[in-house]
Amino acid sequence: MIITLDKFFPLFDDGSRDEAAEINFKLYEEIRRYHESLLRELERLYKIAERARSLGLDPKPHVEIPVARNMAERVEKLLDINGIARKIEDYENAGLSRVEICFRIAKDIVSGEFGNLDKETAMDKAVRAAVAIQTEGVVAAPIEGIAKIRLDRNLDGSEFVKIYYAGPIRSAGGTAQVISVLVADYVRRLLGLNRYIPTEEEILRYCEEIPLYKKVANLQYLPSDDEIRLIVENCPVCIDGEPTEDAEVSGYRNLPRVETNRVRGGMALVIAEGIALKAPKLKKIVDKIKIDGWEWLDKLINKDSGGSETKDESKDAVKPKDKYLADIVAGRPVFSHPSRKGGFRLRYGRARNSGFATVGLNPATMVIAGGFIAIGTQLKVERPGKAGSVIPVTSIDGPTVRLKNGDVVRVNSYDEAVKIRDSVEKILDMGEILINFGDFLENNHPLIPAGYCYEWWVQEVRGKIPESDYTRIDEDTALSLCDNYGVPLHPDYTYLWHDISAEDALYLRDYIVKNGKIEGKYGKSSLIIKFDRKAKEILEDLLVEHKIREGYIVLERWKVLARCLGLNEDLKIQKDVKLDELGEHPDGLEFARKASCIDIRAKAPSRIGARMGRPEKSKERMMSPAPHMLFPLGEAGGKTRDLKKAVDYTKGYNATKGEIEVELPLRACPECGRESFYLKCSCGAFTEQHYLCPACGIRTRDEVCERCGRETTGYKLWKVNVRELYHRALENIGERDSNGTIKGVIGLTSRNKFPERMEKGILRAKNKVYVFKDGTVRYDMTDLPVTHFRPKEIGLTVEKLKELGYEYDYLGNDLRNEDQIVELKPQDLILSKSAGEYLFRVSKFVDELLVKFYGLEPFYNAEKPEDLIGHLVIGLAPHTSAGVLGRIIGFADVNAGYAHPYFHAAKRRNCDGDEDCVMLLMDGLLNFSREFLPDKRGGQMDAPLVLTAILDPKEVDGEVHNMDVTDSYPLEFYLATLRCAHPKEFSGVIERVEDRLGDERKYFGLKFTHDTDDIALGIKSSAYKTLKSMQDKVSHQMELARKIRAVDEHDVAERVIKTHFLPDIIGNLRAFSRQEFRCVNCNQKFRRIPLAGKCTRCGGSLTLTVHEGSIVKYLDLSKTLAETYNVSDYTRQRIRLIEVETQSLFESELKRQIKIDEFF
Amino acid sequence: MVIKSIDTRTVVAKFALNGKNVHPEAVKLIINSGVDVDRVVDYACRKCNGSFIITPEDISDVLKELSSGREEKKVFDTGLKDTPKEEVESKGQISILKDVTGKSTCRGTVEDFVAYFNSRYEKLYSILKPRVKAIPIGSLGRIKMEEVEVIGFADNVRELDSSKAMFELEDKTGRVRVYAEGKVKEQVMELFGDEVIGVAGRLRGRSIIADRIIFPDVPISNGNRKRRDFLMVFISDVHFGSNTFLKEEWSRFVKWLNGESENEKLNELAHSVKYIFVAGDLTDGVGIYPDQEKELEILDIYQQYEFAAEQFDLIREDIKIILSPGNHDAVRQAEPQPALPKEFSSLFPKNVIHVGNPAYVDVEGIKVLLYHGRSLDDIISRVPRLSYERPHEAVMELLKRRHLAPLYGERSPIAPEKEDYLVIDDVPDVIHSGHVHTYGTGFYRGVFVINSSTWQSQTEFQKKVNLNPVPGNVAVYQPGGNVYRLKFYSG
Repeated sequence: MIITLDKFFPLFDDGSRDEAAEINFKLYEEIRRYHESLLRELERLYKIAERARSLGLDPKPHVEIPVARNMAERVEKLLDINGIARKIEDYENAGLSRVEICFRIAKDIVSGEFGNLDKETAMDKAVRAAVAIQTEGVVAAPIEGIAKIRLDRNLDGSEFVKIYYAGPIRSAGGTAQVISVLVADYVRRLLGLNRYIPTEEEILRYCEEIPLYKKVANLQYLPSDDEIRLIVENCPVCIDGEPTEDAEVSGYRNLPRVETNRVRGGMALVIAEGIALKAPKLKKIVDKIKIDGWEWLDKLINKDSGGSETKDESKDAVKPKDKYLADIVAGRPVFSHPSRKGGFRLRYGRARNSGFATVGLNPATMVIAGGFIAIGTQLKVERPGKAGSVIPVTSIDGPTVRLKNGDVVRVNSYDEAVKIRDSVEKILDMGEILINFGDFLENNHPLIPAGYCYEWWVQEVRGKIPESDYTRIDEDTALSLCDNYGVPLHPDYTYLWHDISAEDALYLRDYIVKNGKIEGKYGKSSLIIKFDRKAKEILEDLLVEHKIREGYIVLERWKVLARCLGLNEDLKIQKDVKLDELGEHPDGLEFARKASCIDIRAKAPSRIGARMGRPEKSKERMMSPAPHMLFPLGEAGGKTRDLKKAVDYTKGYNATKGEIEVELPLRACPECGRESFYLKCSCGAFTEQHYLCPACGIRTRDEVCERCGRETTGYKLWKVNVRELYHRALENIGERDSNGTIKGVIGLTSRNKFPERMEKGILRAKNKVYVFKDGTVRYDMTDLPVTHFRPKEIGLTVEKLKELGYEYDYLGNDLRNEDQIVELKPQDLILSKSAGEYLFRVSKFVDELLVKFYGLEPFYNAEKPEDLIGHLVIGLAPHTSAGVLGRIIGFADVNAGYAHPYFHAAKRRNCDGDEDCVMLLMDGLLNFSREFLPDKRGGQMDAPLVLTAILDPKEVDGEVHNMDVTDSYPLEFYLATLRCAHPKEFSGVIERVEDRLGDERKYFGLKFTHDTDDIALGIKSSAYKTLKSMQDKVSHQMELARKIRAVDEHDVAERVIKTHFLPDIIGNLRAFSRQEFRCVNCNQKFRRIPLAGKCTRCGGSLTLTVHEGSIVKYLDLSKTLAETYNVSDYTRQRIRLIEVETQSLFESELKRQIKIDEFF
Repeated sequence: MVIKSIDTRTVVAKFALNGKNVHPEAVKLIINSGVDVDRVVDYACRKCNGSFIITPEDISDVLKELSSGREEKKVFDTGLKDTPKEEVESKGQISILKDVTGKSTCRGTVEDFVAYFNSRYEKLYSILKPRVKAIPIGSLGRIKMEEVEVIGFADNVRELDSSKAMFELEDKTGRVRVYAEGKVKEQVMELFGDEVIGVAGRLRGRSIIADRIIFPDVPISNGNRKRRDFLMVFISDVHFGSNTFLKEEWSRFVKWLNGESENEKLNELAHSVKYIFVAGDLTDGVGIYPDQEKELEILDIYQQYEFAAEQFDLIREDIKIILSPGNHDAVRQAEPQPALPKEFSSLFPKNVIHVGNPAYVDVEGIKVLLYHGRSLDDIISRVPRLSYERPHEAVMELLKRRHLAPLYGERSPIAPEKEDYLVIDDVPDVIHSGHVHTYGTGFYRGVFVINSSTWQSQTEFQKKVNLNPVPGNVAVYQPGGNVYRLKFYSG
């Protein structure tokens, strides 16, 4: 591995230093040293690992994770096309855009730059390269998402191109999908092929199949039949696919040119989520590349926008949307119905731990929401996007609740919330939800009116009032500011006047005038009103804090309220307002503005509905059953695949103990001729792979049989004495036979079935860590973003921080204490505490492996998890094939992993509730091998086929480029939200990552608008996970639904029954009467039960795969819900019918109860 | 087959196979009687269908009846053997010969599934037995013969290449591979899987090379050709409650039945109608498919049936209506389905007779087999030759296999009853199905086959899957005489 840094820093070469601020230069130097240290450390580990691997104890005598400097190299390594990286770099340097590069490379491939290829192969490579370039060489789509490319003939005999897409094409995303089609069209022209001319049946087949795919799997967008027809008729390349689902089409079957009747998921994805959804983007590319034959895209684009764009966008923007409530899951509560009073109040901004598809909540909200919302829990939201992970932000409002004694309090702190949580009777308001501007831009969602907040107010009053700190002011100051300077009322004293009617305001005023008095009895001067239900309800709607004492409503802060009602401090009407002076259907806000003569603003014009999505996660990756090693034990290991059982296994009476028959590679030593399934022969030489033809039985060195041309296999059935192997392994590493189990696997699914050495399993079991299918040990966490941290919140001292290469806080000041806010370096990670504990065990395993197995020095020498700080890890997301180098700098007590948004984007994740994994770098280098990967579609996914050493924000998922990085949004922004402006108006105004990509400032100097006390303050584990039974989950969910004012519990009950319970019951019921059977001994499955009634393989007894229990488990719950809540008759009848059906299936009508003693 | 020394254990085991326990005293009685044990077990199990424990009293009754020779006749007759008299509902000249209603034994256990498939196997075995000299598959390895005949469940049908096919055959004793070439291969490629067939062929190693595939089939000499003077009307899939229910067409049909149509000749025909058969999906039901509420005009299931009953009330009351349910009706979906429960059936006028699905009904000596037709989806998609346009041909395939839903594990759900009600053990004169919303009639070896159409226009779903229904077509049949096709739909 030779890698240098000069590629990364082309900046500061022309004296532009004078322009760059001094501080920027300091930070630039720091980041430069940081990158150098990462590379140095990576190289050090690489050398050690190379030495270990050269011993030949692994499938390959070298490290199998190549390091790539940039996108070009990742593409080359992923696709295995020599020289392509240089070409891409050349084009990049020439200033070509990504898309242009795709086409240029495609042309180069066809013209033979990378070897002379036949038409199909050239086409194949060109399309894959385009997808790889477009996806930054990170995801598995280019290798796994395109199964094959073939030529077929039109009815007129001309040739056309078919691309067979497979499931993993999903990971490419819509844009890369359409580019693959476009590149294929471009290449077919170069090759002189005709376009695809579909038959009527084929078109109709698409029309049937795509909706069917939506039904059995899922699609973000389902195009109409007309749209599908338009695409299929006109797309010059045939979009075909491998069958991915079991479901078959029933209408257009057995078409001569469509090879399967099963549903082709990849095809559906490309047409629906690719071409149909990304038509505007596709059109842009087509125009740029100037390729003809795609004019029909206009029809596809106009179809959508033609009518609706003329509509009043502002009205559309704030219309309640209930889509996020679809597919609701039992036990995961709804926190607010769409845009309802009492729901989350929108606040614009980005906290230092938010942005990039997150939602910020006050930790108090998490507690009050029944503990269901934890840090990292996914919320499905009404807008702007679909979902986001929850992060704690203490600088925004918490919820307002009514206690059982009638008091109404705003809860702004976590501790306070914990104190009162058991006495909450009603949650009047869920508090604020922090969403950043960038998320609106990314989702292309019009801005919706901002609530009046401090950031806005302070910009309006700047220059008009004396300089001072106005974050917390008292009532008198608030009023005098308004009166003396004519500025709007401070947001802290702005009540939710728009939520009540003018009549209500009038009622409250008159009631106070009549029944209110000012007293000094309870502390300071308080407004005391005789209890009245309606008056109290109005105060609750306004979110005015008050207490109930001895039959009186007591308001400690009342002066602003009185003023807003037009009363003076003696509770006399100072300014009377008549209803007819106001407009039609006046609301309380109009009344209050008029009555107070103060500029009062709308506090909560936008509310955001939300429900719980999936819970947060922080857990070791375990396959099920979870193996310690990739060594096959067949049936000998029993159900637990236990090596200890296999060691004592005897096949028959005379069989040798521990001798088992399993499939392992066929290798032979060129020196001594002995056969082996390992790389290293017992004589010390390296063995070579041999192959068997399954048809002819002959042995070759080739993957294709020389006699019959069939594919050969690289493995055979071996008789292996695992007892001997085990004892030899123990001896090798100087371990003793211990009591615990050591789990292997039943069989290997890789191409040649290469096994791991048993020593690794023994050491993993000893350290209680589990292996994943590729030989690595992994830890999964929900992704959370963080751009700035306080050393103390992740347990770092200033000294340690300096050791890690941090010298300044985010403002450029020298580091002096642990409370300063420090900007996170892009590849540094703050892992969950439990991740630290697990990785600590992994480090122990790796050290023992190095010492006892490879005979080298220990590497980590960690004695506690904190000792891992500063060590390198690989971050890797599902559906991708490229790991990203990361460095641990601390741990936080949350069930999620905090990292820089760039880091997540480099793995092609955002933070909307997804999770991915980390592994220790040394573990990956030592133990990962491609030889272990399953030989099936998707097997190459989720494996570190290549490692990105230094991440370049330019080459990460583009979504993060929309994240805003300023410290405040301008006044115009807040005003623009009121007219529901499009966020595009502010691109270039509010600074985003994209604006910094041009120079090195992309790595540092990012800012945030909101601070938070502690990134780990809040609920750690969602009640969804801590409550065990579904019954408990549902009853807590419903209790919460009753408490929250913004939630309609009846609707929740109906939805839970309709979208979760009933489909589950019905699905199981249908499955029951067509079910498979399973042998309890050997797990053999039977589609139909054998007549003999027992397993035909081992004679064991058979069991159902779908039981009565799994069918009725939700029936009682559904019945209870339907009885307790107002559920529609339709749903009630469905439950009733299902109940009758289950009785009919599970209760014999003829059973005659006979007592035993009737017989004797 | 006479077994000389029988021990207690064998007898208990034989009962256990049928899902029964037997009282020790009863075992003694059987052993001492000297009657063939299999005969006693067989008869006793059928007689005591539903009770789990065979008492000595049961056995002595059985032995008495066996010795008097009463049993034989009944076995051949109806398949209803020894149902108590009152269960053969007698309404005028209609008797229900076989129907699961009120007799469901299903408890959803593994044993139920074992018993169910064994019942299917035994019933079809006894149909095939006269034509196939079957030996147990498990004994194939031990015999020296080259020519063999076996009976079993077909499974795993696969095409090997353009001239060869392979499948497996399973009976209680084991499994064997069967290879087929040429014409036999064509036959094999039309096997659904899970049907019970006979195979005659040559033993090659551990496999059989098939020479002949023997289906249970309907005897060629079958046929009840006596001409009757009344007409039977066949309809199904009315889908009352759906927003695609064809109201006008339906009322035109009712008018015709009541002799109120414009056409005198048609009125005359209507005059002779004595029976209407309804093969399921009377209403659209609730919750049958996702988001069904969007396609319903009547959301309430009770109101759907009330509306249906009102409509049937309009039909002149001297016409007897035999009504069996389908997958949209308010009964369990798994087949066999019982008749509509009381809360719904009581809404209907007296001339409506409620039966299960499937049901054998004897009408003045004409045996009609009603079956809704859920399995037609499976077999039409399995065999390329069959199509929704000619649904009756699919029904003929069922007759050939003597089973209404041979394919297990696909779209037809099965309730594992102790007895397989879906076996066509008695050859009917008429077989009537629906479900696929298309129309077709024909004769198969003397059996009148009818798949009746629907009273619902094309639904969104059908549009998607390219299914073109043929609504408002009604088959009218004069037993032994003509078949008329009346069209009430012009669209």
